Amino acid sequence: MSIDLSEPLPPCSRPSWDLPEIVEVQTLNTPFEPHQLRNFRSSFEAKTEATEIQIRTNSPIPIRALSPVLHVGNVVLTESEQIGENLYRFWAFEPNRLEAEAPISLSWTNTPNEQLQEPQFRYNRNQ
Amino acid sequence: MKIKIVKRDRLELPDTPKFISPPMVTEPLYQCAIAVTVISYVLDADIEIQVDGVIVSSANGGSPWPEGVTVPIPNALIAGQKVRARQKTAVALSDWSAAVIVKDHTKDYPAGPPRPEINPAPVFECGVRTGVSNLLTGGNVWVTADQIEVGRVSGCRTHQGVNVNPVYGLGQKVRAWFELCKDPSPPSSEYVTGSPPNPLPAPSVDPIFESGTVLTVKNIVNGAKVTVYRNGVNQGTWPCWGFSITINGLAPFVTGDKFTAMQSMCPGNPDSPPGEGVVQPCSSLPAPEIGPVQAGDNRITLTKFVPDATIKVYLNSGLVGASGGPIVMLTKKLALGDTLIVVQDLNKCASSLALEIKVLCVDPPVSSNPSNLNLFPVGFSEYQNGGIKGSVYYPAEDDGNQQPFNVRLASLARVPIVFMAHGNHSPADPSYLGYDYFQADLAKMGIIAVSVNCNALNGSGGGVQNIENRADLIIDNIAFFQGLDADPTSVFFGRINFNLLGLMGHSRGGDAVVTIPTVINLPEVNIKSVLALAPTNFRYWARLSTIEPKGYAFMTILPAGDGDVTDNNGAQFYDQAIPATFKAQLYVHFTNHNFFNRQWLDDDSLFTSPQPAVITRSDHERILTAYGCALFRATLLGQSTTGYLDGTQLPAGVLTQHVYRSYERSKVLTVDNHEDGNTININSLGQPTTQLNGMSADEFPFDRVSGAFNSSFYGLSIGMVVKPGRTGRVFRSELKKVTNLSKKEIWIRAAEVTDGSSVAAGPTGFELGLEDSNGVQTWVDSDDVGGLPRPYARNPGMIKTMLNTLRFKVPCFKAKEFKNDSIRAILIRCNRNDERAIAFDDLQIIN
Repeated sequence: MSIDLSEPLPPCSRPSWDLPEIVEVQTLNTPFEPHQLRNFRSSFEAKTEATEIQIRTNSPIPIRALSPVLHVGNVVLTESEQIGENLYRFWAFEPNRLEAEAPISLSWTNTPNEQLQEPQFRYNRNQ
Repeated sequence: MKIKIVKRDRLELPDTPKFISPPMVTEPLYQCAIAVTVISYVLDADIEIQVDGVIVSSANGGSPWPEGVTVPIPNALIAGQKVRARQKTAVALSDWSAAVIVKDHTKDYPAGPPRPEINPAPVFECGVRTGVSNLLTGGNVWVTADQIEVGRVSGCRTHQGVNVNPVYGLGQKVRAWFELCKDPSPPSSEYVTGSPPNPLPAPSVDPIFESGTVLTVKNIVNGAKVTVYRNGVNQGTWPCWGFSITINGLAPFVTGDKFTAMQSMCPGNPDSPPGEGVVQPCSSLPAPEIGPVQAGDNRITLTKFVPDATIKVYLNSGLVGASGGPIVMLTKKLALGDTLIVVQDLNKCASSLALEIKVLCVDPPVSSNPSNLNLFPVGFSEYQNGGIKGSVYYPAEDDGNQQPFNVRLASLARVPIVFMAHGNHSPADPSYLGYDYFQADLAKMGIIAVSVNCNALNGSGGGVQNIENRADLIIDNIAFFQGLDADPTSVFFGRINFNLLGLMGHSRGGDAVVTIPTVINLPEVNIKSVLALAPTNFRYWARLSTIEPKGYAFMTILPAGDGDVTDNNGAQFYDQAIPATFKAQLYVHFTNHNFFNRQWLDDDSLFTSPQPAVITRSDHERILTAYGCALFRATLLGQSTTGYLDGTQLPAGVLTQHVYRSYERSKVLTVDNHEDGNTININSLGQPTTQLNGMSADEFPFDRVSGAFNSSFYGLSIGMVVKPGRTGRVFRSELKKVTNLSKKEIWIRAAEVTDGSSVAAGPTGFELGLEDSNGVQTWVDSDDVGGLPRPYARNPGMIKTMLNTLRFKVPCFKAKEFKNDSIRAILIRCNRNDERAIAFDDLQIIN
């Protein structure tokens, strides 16, 4: 009988979830329209005022269970959606808490503040 | 299990040749059976069968392994009869076995007997024997090839070999069939015969020992003929259903005898090369191996033994069991701390080594696998109505796409339904197809299983709105199936019971299925159970209140190596759940986020390296199907499978050593859950607690918030942390009144506290104590009930203090003058010589 001797196979591929860099930030004071649900009332239905912050990134944000969040100073914007190629919208439902010149950075949902990327942009209401 | 191998001659074990244990009658037995299977007897013992006090049959048992002996009986059994068996040798006569009461199979299987399984499969051209399993003892099984019967056995055993004549041709469609009481089962899955391997592999021969008479040959091709030579002399040729065959009745083996075995299939193709085995001397006979034993057991189950050996079991040096494997009945119940000695003897050969076991308080047995229930063929189809789309698996008349619904099942009652939802992943991948294995498992046991296509909501964004959108879409799909149930043209017309509805969601889908019960408003929908697999909790991240799962049974599976939902947020749902019946949490080491879905290919654990390598994808799937089927069988079919979830039994074929469970029943007495806001000094019964001998314990949020003991707690609860200190520290929690706990268990969630970045060397533990009304205290160590789990050593910063429910059986608490029927306090004593903090929660008394 011949006896084989081999090296272990490499593990499965690792997901690529590294976040892109923000290349552009825009602030819009547009009315908030929650998604229309067919079977129940959204918990966002009562929210009508919000500040929309749009960011453009240098590559797509990866798709995973966690979502991207935008840190504006100490305020974390957790509601987001993609609205174009490398273009994303984040909602701030308490716009008064956003401080002028607050650093803006992108992270995954549960990233501690101390692990945030160095901010390249700062919050400006008229950006 | 505390085990060691010891030399037998030092033990001075008494020999009592006139004592043998009773054998076992295989359960269940059903009316109309014309045979009874008996297992666990001494080689070649005479087996006597007694029905309602009258001996009706006897037969030589031959080899007790692998299947025992199936003894024909003169009259078919009748429901309500009591069947027993005993064994007799030249020198010994056993007691009668425990009586098995004959049942009516239509009570257990109202839609007909279970579906036979060709096992092993696949089958090959020229095959001469086929194994069929999932049978009811004493019924009739037959095999067809291209719809023509080619073999039959009347009065079968549960796994029956059927000789095939004429042998299979190439490309034939083979099925197995079964009936009992003229009640037919559905046919087995169809297999098409393929060409057998050519050349055939050489068989292997299991180790054989002096004075043995049974030979096991392995590596056999399905349906092959096996020829055995002994020192060059032909011993005969046997047909084999594949994998392995045990050959008994050989003349006693002599050291140095050489056995060779070869296999053959089609004429014209060469036989296999021979496999060889040489008889080893008696001195090489090893000690047997056994499965878990625990206090209260009155039997042992062998996991490795010589097939024809007599197994002898000594309890504290007295003989309490003697029989063949795989189960030996004992004359006494085992208790915590007992010493068991197990040896195996062949005819004139006593093993020189013995197995020594210290009996633990809790060491649950490995039982069947709850995903194995196989009753119906499985139909499936895709569905779409605009954005409402997915796949559905259901019990059908036959296997395949768009088969008719199973008529017999439908004639009995409407059928439960489970909706599944995947999570966020590339919309280019059909994620909804990733749970087809789980859907098929549920369908074959009589549950419709729908997997919703949520790709329209998949992408780069996220948040609570995305979860609400998913919940909305799943409800759309439930409503769509309500429409199918009302549509006379649908295969589901009048078939679905929406009052027995289960939900399973993975990742963001898990978040959504926890949301649904709080918002759904469809008529006649009653959610009985929810399984959240590695769920997100976007409300927590948005600083909104976490949903309290309530009004249904809740279960979450948390992959300890999850590289995506790294916070294992399902623990928050578990902590918040107020179960209608029970809640369960499975924290599973060496698993990741993705491998439960067949369409999600990356190993996400590698994103947060360093992490240990995870188990294979198929082992992930076995965890989901075993525990998921246990959940849905218990809550939707009313079957007794919660033991797999509360830890009183372990599912076979699952890497249960990696599964750490928390479990809580509704309506139990909670001594302390630390949620009352009444300080550490008062428990949940409103009674005082006391800290003695330098104990320093306090209540902390088990959450990632300020005020937590440290950052390693990922739940959403308040619990107690016992701070490091010297050995002998005691925490005493008083009961409201003196209580009889003699038939109860004490459950407590506990965990070794990690600092979040490292895992201390070596395990730790504690003792749980009871104090009776006279002040007598007695203790049981956590190591005697399964031990305190070690933290999962993943990437620093993500190592978690994850609590696990330990079950302490009160009968294990023993001491002189101690009365377990008058308990006034429960105690925790930290007795390890280290400086480790331990977390506790949910101290409860269980009936």
